[in-house]
Amino acid sequence: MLEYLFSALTPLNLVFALFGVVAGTVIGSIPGLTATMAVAVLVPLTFTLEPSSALILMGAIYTGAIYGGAYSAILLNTPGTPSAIATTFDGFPMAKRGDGGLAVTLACIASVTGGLVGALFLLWLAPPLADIALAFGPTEYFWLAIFGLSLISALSEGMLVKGLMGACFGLWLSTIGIAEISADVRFTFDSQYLIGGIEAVSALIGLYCIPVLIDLVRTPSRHLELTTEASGFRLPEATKIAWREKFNLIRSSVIGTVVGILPGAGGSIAGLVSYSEARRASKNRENFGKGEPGGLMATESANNATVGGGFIPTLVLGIPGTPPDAVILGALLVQGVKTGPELFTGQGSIVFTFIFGLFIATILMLPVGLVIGRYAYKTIISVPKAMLVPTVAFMTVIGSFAIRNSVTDVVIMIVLGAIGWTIARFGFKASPIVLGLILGPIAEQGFVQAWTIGYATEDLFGTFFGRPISMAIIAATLLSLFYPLISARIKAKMKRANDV
Amino acid sequence: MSDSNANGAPDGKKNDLGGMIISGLFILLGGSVLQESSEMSELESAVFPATVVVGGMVFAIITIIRGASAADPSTLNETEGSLPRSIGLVLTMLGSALIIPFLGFFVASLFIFGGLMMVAMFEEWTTARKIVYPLVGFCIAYGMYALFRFVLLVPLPEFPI
Repeated sequence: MLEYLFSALTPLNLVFALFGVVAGTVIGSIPGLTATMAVAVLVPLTFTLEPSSALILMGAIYTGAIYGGAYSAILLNTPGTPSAIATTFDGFPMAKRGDGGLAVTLACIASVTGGLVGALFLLWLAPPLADIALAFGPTEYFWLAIFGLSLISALSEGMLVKGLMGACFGLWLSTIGIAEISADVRFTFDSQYLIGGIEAVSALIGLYCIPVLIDLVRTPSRHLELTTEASGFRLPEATKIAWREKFNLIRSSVIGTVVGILPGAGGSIAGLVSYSEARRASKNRENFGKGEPGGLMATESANNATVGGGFIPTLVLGIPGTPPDAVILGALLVQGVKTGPELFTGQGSIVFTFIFGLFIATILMLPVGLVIGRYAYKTIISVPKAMLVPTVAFMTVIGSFAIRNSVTDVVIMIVLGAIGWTIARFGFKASPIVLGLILGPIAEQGFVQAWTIGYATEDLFGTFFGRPISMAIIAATLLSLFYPLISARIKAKMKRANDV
Repeated sequence: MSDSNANGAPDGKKNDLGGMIISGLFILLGGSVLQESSEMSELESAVFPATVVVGGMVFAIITIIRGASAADPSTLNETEGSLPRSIGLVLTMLGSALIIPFLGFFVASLFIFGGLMMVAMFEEWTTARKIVYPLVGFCIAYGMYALFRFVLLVPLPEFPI
């Protein structure tokens, strides 16, 4: 293991980790620019890197962006990323009473703690899961892809049917072009430009980034209001509070990791669940929602723990646990890295170097979060729209082009982005389409192989529904589909509690 | 007294017309996919997309039924902001992408910066802004172009001489 640690500690990897954390923190601090977008925009920079370095960079961007979301949540009552929703409950009241600097420092300490716990779980639990995954056949992989699609239920609160329709659209998009198994040319509408199919990363850059750009140019109002806060890190005071909340921090980090492992959950759900549990277990529960540091730390540790947790299904099973994981998975496919059990047995140096890199990036988040992130936040929100919009747009174009050196990919990216913005206004979200696109090839390969086996053995039903592991995955999928109901109950419960 | 409004939906609720239209378009797309799937020589090529679109069509029909009965309230976000600017952004990006093969990537990126600066500009074009913004845009465009072209060795199309 030491060799992997030393591989992660090369100067180049340290620079990537530092750059990733800085860039992620800055982007994540701007509401609307999510962790997914942070990874999507910067992912083209990784295409020519070594796979382990690319993973370290993307992991650092991801973990930085999740933390960065706390800035605007605390200072403006606006979550920078969905993961920071519950951060507003106590962070903003703290800022209002003049403890904004302390709240930011507490969020930083909690995020680092959560990130380290998540990375530890990734180091310990990923290899055993890889062994289990080796027992999976085509049918299991098909159902795993469907399990991954169950993330839709969490992404489509109140609009599950539309989410499922979007996923079907994404799955169909993934079949355009030359079929992997039979090499048939499908659904190109006689256009030579579509023979290569829809490039998944270009598509998701468009679906996530273009709608944000469109919204930016629609109104003259500032994306964020500048807020002047009393400066000062108040690190000693924050350290004392963190020590007092140590059990809360560990419990919330474990909750975040476990929720992150489940496709169908994510940082926002992890934050809400851990907040609810912290409140339930606290002696000061009446202070929750009024600026209780324990609530803030529970949320921030949980959402950063989902980073490491989410990488477990992404790397071991090829199933993205969260949307940013889907982007990272797409980038790895571009690199020719095949996720799954083989990654751990055949390419262990890549994955273990990455895990140690994630530890380093998480530790680097402490100085970055305390020093650079705070000032970068003010700088970025000061950039006029007339500079911000063209810069981000340019990055989406050059990023989409660079994947396959194809103008067609750029055009498809822009068109899909415009479609994504339009249908979002009618309740159809982009994430289910993206998940369908990413998981489509896995699902199709597993489905066709299982279908062929079942057809040959004249037992189609038994092939798909009669195997123990398949049954377990189907049960987990159904459980995951019920997440929104559980989440809605928790939210309602918290709302009632806050109203009291 | 009827409890329905002009849309035939219960009072206080609107039909999800947008959702219904999109679902209708998906059903049309699904029909086309099923037609093409039925003509494929290899069953392996057809079975997955056909299954997927059938599933999607079922969800589309459910969306239409729920939308028509206003079981799903309209999710349409009220129009806010400038539609011409939104269209301008998309057209500028599309136009810039389409000129890449003819004028090269760097020239196209200048079009992106120039066009989108105007689209996203809500303040007055003072003399200082007229000088500083294009200059900064040029530097960013060239910096990123150089990074991808010369450092990351991405073969970005060049201006044909």
